[in-house]
Amino acid sequence: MALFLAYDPATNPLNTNEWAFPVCEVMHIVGFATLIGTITMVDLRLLGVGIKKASAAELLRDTAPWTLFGLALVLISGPLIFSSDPNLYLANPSFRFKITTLVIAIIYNYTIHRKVARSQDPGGFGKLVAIVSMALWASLVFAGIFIAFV
Amino acid sequence: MTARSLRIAVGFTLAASVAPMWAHHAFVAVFDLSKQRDFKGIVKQVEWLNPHARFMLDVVEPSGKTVSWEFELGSPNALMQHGWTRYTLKKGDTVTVTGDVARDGSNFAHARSIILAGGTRVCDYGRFNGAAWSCGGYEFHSVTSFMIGFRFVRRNCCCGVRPVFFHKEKVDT
Amino acid sequence: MFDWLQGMAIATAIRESALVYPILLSLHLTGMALFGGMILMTDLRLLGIAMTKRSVSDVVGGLRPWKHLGLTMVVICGALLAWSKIALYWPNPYFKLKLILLTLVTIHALVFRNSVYRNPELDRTGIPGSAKFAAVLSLVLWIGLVSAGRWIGYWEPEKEKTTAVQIR
Repeated sequence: MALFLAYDPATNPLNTNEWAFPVCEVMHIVGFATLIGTITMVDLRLLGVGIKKASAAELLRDTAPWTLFGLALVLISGPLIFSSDPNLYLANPSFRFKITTLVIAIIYNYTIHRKVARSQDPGGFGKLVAIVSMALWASLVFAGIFIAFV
Repeated sequence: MTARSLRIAVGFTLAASVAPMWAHHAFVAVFDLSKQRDFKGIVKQVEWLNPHARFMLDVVEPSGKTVSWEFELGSPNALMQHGWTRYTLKKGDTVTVTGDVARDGSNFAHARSIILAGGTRVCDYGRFNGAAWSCGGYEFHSVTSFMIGFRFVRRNCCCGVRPVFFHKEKVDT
Repeated sequence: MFDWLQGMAIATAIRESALVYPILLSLHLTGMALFGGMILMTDLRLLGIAMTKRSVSDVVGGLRPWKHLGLTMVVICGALLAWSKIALYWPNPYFKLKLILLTLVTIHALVFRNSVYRNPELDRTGIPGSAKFAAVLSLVLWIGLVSAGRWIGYWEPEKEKTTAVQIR
């Protein structure tokens, strides 16, 4: 499975510019900290802890724009980093796992998670949804790190 | 007020100074893949550490001079996934390394593959799973396993080393 | 001294490990992911930009134990990672920068503890300029910490260069 690219990654500014690549990575980290941190705020509330005075629905509404902001940062910086060396990333098993999990996590967040958080009384099912959510996002972070270790 | 202003100034300066003077970044940016060459010499030191293992070689150049070169490999986990052990490369071994030289002209290179003292060849897989560089292709069991990232089998591996990432299978190389 | 620290059994085990090092690093980042965003939200609330419908004390108080948990995770993993390669990290300027920023962040937390982060009066009196300033400084310091951390991995000590004389 050779990937013959139209361009040579060596010409990508991410590889030639002194700080472009690390800045992209920092953007990626700040992005996922915002994305995952805000989702975790809702998850904690579903688990009955955190900002208890607000309901999960209210917290979801308050954090939603920031979750989106974090997601935007991630989805901008991610492909940029990928473009610096596509062959390497495509062939990396951890990267592939990460992309699959990312798609699942995003869909999960905007469907089941959103529905349950908005419901009147999430209850026990809400706790399960919250734990699955946190596990999905945490496994994404692990997958991201392991790209460099497999 | 002054103490606070002082701390703003220090804080901002420090945070802003993260723009580096000597940044060293993505693989392709550090090593020139078009400048590949062979190095033959004696292993002086092996540093088996995360995130990149490295080793030093006293290379005997064609001119007869001995130059000290440093080589970078992948992480121990990645290397061990692909057949390396902690002691595959040992101090005192005479080896031939094929590597990509660093762009900045220093005595630093990425070790692509190494012909060991005994004659077997091992590769750095940590950064080399890219088909553009490996000797053969991949064979995947299915689209699902491709996406999940597990269960790939490398065939026609240039190094005769079997990958064992989450899946053990006999490979004829 | 750093060589001695780095030579200790635990440090060596982490440094030379297959999975321990990446797992520690992943936990370090997971701590940042799960709880770092909460630091951002706290500071944004203080700046009046986010979560404005909730009172300041609700947001700050509700998130506090979780931020502490996250910080504990990050610091423990960070300390173990640093210990494993301390002799190699010490000459790294970004590592030193990170230590300095960590100190500043601690001072920041202590200085603004009573006036901002544990001040129930803020609900009643509104958020003064000094609190907003604390929030901005906090954001700058934390993002600086993350950047410095990432840059640590990119620094290499000066290496010898091959000269024409040597290869010919």
